[in-house]
Amino acid sequence: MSRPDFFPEVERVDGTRSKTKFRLLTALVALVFIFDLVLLAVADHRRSEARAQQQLRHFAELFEQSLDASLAVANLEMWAMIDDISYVPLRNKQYIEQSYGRRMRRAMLEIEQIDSLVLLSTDGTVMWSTAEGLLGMNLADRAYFANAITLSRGEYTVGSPITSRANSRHLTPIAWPVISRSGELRGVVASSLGAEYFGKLLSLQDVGDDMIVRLVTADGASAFAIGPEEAIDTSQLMTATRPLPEVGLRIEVSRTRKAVMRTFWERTIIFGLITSALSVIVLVSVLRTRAQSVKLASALKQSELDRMKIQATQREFDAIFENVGDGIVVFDDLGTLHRSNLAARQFLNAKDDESAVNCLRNRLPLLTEIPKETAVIPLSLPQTGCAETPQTMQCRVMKLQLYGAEIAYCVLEDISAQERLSETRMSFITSVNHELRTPLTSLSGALDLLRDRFGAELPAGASKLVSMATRNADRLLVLVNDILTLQAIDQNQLLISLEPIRVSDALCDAVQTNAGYGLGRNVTIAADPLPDGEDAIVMLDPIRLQQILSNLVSNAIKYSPQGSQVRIGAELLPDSVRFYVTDRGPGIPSDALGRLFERFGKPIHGRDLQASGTGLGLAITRELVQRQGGEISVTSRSQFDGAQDTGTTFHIRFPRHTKDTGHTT
Amino acid sequence: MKVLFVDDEADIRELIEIAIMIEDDIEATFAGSGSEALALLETQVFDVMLLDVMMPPPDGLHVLRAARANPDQDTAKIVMCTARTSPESEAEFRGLGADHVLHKPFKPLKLADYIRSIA
Repeated sequence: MSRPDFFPEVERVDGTRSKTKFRLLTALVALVFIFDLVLLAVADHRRSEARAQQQLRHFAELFEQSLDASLAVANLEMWAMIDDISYVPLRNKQYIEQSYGRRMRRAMLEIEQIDSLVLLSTDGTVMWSTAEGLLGMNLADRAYFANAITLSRGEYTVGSPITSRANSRHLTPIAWPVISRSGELRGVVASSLGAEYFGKLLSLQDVGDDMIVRLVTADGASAFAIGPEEAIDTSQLMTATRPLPEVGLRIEVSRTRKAVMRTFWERTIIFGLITSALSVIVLVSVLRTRAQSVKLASALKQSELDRMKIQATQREFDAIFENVGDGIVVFDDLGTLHRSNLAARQFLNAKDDESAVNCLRNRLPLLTEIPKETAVIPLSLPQTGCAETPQTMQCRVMKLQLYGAEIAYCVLEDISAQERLSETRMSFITSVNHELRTPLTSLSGALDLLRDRFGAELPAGASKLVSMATRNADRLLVLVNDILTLQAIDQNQLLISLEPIRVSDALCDAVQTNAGYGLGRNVTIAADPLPDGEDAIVMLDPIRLQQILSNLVSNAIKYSPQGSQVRIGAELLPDSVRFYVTDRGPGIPSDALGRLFERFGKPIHGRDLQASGTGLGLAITRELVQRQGGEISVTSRSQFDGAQDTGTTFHIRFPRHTKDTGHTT
Repeated sequence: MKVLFVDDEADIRELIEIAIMIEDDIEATFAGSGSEALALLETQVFDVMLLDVMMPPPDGLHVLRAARANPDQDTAKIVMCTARTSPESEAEFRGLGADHVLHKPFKPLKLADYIRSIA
């Protein structure tokens, strides 16, 4: 019986709901995580940008300061030189070379900011130059010249960068007016700020590789630049500017946004990866934990269901235990377990489990004396008040070793009813025996007398009828006898008194007993001589053995063709004797062999072949054989199976009686 | 030879009567009940008695006891006729004084020979 599950629906709905909830929660946590990550990244981005800007400004300031200082130093030294060369107007080039040449060369060497020196007269003609090619050229059209002649003492000007005509170098012109102490303008000293100078200057600072530093003139031209050479989209640059008002320049320090933010992106990516990894780990462990807890919960639920099932089963068991017709008593050898059911308490006339157990234990042998397997112990119990007949009980005891104790399971059966029933059956059989046999005796006897005394006087037809009546009366008598025999067998009341019998004698008797029957049917019976003239002894009931052999022989005769022979004999095997009865009849179809020994079985043969009989002969024969410890078998070659040499042989095997056991029993 | 047949079945009695009729050496007397048999035991002496066991009381065993209690019938051979074939019942009959037990059903035609063989 399959029991319905308790609350399976509820469990399923619960599971789905909690799963949905959990998924929503996980999604929410993930969303919050991503949002926070983005927020952090944005804030970090801003801060990085601001910091980069600050750094750039810082660099610009540094450059400004150093440039400022450097130029101020150069200015002072230049003015010292200018003072030395401005006593007289600059007219003769040779004079200038002779008078100031050394001074100016020294200045050029000493003042590291400048790498060349050109002395121009007030009209712009080159009066002296470190580069010979410039001598005599007029540079009045140069912007720095125009600017310089307007300046007063102590000042200088820086012009837009130019490409030198002398050596094609990129130069930033710087010029000072040559003003005497008396305030007279004598000319202009021009020089250039070379790449070396700026390179040196800027390399003092820690300029990053990716940093672009430019000196930009007032008109926006780049005087000097260091940093990556390739043209960069200015929109991608982050720039800090610092003006140098004194020289009309400004410093621009830039870095590409990409460079600035590289660390940011690196940081963000690493941070993102780490946090993601961490959160994945957390998520996985949360999922695992949840899976575990779900399992645990379902296991708990299952165990609860199991508990309920067990309870239900327990209740069912209790109901059956209590109400079953046989009495059941369970107890152990420690005296702690007492259980009994209603029937047991009624049988034992006990009020409760304990007294029932005590009452039964007093009537049973000691627990240790009861064999391990099921033991059946007859009990006689005091008559209970309402019972009309004395109770004959039997107690089946089974011992089990459980929980470290010997537990006895006792089933009390009231066998008085069984006994009464079997008594009733016996008296029924006895009366049937008498009531059926008495009229049959009269009938059969009357017919015998009729044939014997008046047979000659009867007309031929009447004689035939009398024969028919006699035959059928005899048949009925055999049937009644067969039924009674089977009944006796079933009731275990068949009496078998074993005696040693010689096999040769048994065969001889069987031939003699049935010879008459065979003669009537023109069939002879022959006993095969025992092999080698040996003989053996079997321990059997002689009457039953003859009954067995007669049954088989008469059967064989019945089915034998006229004029044929039925042979009986025995094979002597080392520990058994195998009797056989064989005929040359039509044989038994192989599909009918199985039901051959059934009581009132379906006829084996068709109507034309089937001999009349009670349908019990072989059933009785088998019972008689088995009751005496033998076995019966049959082999047959049937014409229905297409066999040519038809016939049937019955074998009966009995254990051989050896001399030793023969004398002792 | 005086033979007493006791059987409550009239048909059986009649059958036996027909069967025995032609035997000159057997003088048969019939009783249809136990009490009838008891009365006959008081007045006649028999050589052979065939007593049916199963009869309404007084049954064959009762008659057997009475016959054995009667010194006049000392020489009588008593045969109990019964359908019960168990050795226990046979032993019981013999214990009560029966000489032979005849199992039913028996052939009336062979009865005369049987009586002569035991007498």
